[in-house]
Parts: sequence; structure tokens; C-alpha cells
Amino acid sequence: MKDLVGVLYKEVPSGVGSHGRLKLNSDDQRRVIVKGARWAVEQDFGSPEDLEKTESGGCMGDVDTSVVSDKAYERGRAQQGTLGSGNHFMEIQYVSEVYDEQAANAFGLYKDQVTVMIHTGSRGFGHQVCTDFLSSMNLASRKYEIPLADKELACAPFNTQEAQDYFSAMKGAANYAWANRQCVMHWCMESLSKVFGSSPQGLGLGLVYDVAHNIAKVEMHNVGCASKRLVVHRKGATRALPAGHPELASAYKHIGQPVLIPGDMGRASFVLVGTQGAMQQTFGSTCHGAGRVLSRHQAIKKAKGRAIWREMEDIGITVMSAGRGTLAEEMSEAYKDVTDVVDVVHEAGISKKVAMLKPIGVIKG
Amino acid sequence: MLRYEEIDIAGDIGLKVHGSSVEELFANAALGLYSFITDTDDVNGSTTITVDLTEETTERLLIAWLNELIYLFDVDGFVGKTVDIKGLDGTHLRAELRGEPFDLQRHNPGILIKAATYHRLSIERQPQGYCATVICDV
Repeated sequence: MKDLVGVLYKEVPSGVGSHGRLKLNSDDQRRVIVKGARWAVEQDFGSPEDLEKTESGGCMGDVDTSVVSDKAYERGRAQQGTLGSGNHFMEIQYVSEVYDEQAANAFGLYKDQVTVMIHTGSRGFGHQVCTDFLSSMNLASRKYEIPLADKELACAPFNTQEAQDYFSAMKGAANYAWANRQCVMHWCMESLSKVFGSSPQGLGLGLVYDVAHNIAKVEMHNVGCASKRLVVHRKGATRALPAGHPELASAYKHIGQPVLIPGDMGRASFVLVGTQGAMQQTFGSTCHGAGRVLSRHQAIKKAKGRAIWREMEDIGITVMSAGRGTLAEEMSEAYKDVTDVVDVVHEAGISKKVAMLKPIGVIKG
Repeated sequence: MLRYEEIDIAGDIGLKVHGSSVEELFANAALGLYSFITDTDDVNGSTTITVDLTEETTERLLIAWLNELIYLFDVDGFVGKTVDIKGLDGTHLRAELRGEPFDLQRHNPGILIKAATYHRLSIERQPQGYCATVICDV
């Protein structure tokens, strides 16, 4: 495990000061923003089948690249194909429990199987888009006389130029994130091939699903007796579409969308499946993770004098981290028990438990 | 006077900054930001950069200032060691920073700060000077 974690740590850049392996010029970058994961597959990072198993095929259409600032492009350029820091991670896990055989089977999951979970996003590119547009949205909120509870929650009516420009840039950031995860997954598969001396196909490696955790989508939902076109903004929430939903790719149409719920590095993560209950109660959404119980600051205080990596080693989990303090901030005690969180959404019927994944190797930024 | 301190915020990083003047407040905010990224004791001042910004209010200027420094770190790797506020009149800021590009061989990696936010943002006038609270996304 140490060798494997070491190779993954080396092959996938993570943490402060890390640089991506890709050298993109501005035309390449525009292609990433327009094509998303499709761009990565065209560069031979992964296969076309991966797109079938990615939310929205790994690309939101109609991105106007001119609404994205030069700063966002510059910030994103060096970070394409990097993990990041904070709660971003890559974990080697195994399926410790299967709750729904039929769904697990459809997702290609079975007990004691080894899995890898990657949690990263649009990196500095997405954040620069947010920074840029917060400024113009603050002005728009004033223009459209929308009182703000928090200046960070600036907004404009969806059918205005300001909102449409933002939506275009956000779609570009989502596409950047899908491309990023596709590249990281590809290098992860290469690393596994290297360590185990077999091809990804030989090892049986394949994507289960790639799902966004912070995104706005235009979707059809029932409101009262009418079907309405809505903007559903999932922030700290995950899409959870039921079987038969028109937006699901054929691979999962009969069973429902896989939902990936990361927990903490010492306990577990979960795979759930979307349900009709989510369409009825939560606009096709469920939870997004365990959620913190300690602030980063409190966690660091609590970890003082302890070797978190050794505590993890003692329970059979190999950990590598780039940042000083990251392991303390990310230790299990800093998070709610994801099992409790997942039980709530399962009982509420807004998604159903399929499998529990336990970590054995962890890379933190 | 304590120049800056980290405050408890679930999920993100909170920075409380002090300064005897608004100029010092802005300089200390920058140093507080850099302290999250690395140990600034290990940073030398071989590179000089200047930052020039205009915003509608001092609060917005503080956020724009920190976001500009985050941008310069992400793009050029620039980490500041000293900050000299050359001019600040409430809506316009001109500053000179001495520092160097981040180098993993010599600099301890801390945490990547993605953005300074307007959430719970405040700048208060106090008997001894000024105090600002800024929440950063990580």
C-alpha cells in the first residue's frame, strides 16, 4: 500500500505549490472550457465510455468563452490536472458492505473489491470566476433591487444578461472540473497499472460515476400540478436522479444515478443511488458529504502533539499529505460520522444506500 | 498588538486582523493571508511587485486586495514577506510587496486559499486602531 500511495502521490500533483503536468496554451484552455471531460478523452486521458458514466456527459453546452476573465484563464492554466488541497483527496478504498445487490451489480461494485475515490474540482479557475462575478453580481443585485442576506450570496434574475454571463462562466468552470477529474483519474489508473504490472483493462479498472457537488442546472421539476423549468443550485448537495430519468445515460437508466458521498479519511465513504423520493422532496438532490463538526482551527488544536498519520497507520490506513496541518484538519474527529448522515438521507428516501467504501490508502493535498 | 489571528469558522478559515491605521490593517491582512500558505520566516524578499487597485468602498478594497494576492500566488507563486502600503485613500490602494516565488524545496506548504469572501466581512474602528474580520474559502 505504501508503494502504491507513494506512486499516486508522485503522479498526481497535489497541495500548495504543485504544478500540473499539462501545459495548456490559451486555445487549449478554451477547448477545455467548452468541451469538458470530452477534451480530456480526446487527449487520450481515459476512454469515451467514461463520458457515459459522467454527469451530463462531462460537459455543459453553450459556453461563451469570452465571458471568462483573463485572470481566470491564467489561474486555471497551471492547475489543470491537479488535486488541490484542503478537503480534496484521492483514496484507495475497498467495498466493505453492500446494501443493494442489484444496484451494486449495475454499478460494477461487489464486496471486498478495491475502489478509488477522487474528490477535486475546478481549482483556482472556478474560484476566479466566482470572485470576478461576485463583483458584477453585487451591482446587479442593486440594479434589480434584490435585498441580500449576505453579500457573498449576490444574485440576478436568471433571464438577465448578468445572470446568463455568469451561468456561461459557471458551465465553463464545471467543464474544467470534469476535465480535471478525468485527467486525475487517468493518471491514477496509469499508476495502478505501473504498480501492479498490468493494463487498466487487465486490472478491471473502469469509472463508476463522476458527479458534481457544487453546480447549478436547468431542470424540469413538478411544482404543484405543473411541470416547470427550474434552476436547481446544488451547493453542498449532490444530484440523485431516479431510474428512468431522461437525463440519465443508458448505462444507469434502469437503476438510477450513482451518488458518491465522501466521508472522512479514517472511517468510510458511500455509494448511494438516486430515487423518485428525491424528485418529490428535494428537486432530485441528496447530501454531499459528512460535513465538519470541528473547525480547521479546532481540529489543529485537538491534534497537537499527536501523529495523525501514525494513528491512521495503526488502523490500517496509509496516508500521505502535502500540506503542513492538512492531516490534523482532515482527521476523522473533525467530521460527523458519514454513516449517520447517509442513514438520514436513506430513511428520508431521497437516495438509497448501495455500498460502503472503507479507506486503506489516502492522499491529501 | 497582535497583527493577525486565525478565528474559528466551520469549514473555512477566518482571519482577524489588527492595525493602528487602515494602511497597517491592509498590510497585516496580507501577511495573515501568507501565513496560511507557508511559514513567511523562510521567505526572502528578492522579488518586488506592485499592486494598484480601485474599488467602491474600503471593505470591497480589502477583499479585492486579498483576492489579488491569491491570484498572484496561483499564477506566479508569489509569496510576500514585507508589505509597504504606498497609498490608501479608502477606495484606491497602491502597495509594494517584497517576497519571492514559492519553492517547495525551501518553503513549507500550508493550505491553498481559494478566495477572500464578503461573508461576515467587517472593518471596525476601535480605540487602539482598526480591526477587520475576513472569511476565506479553502
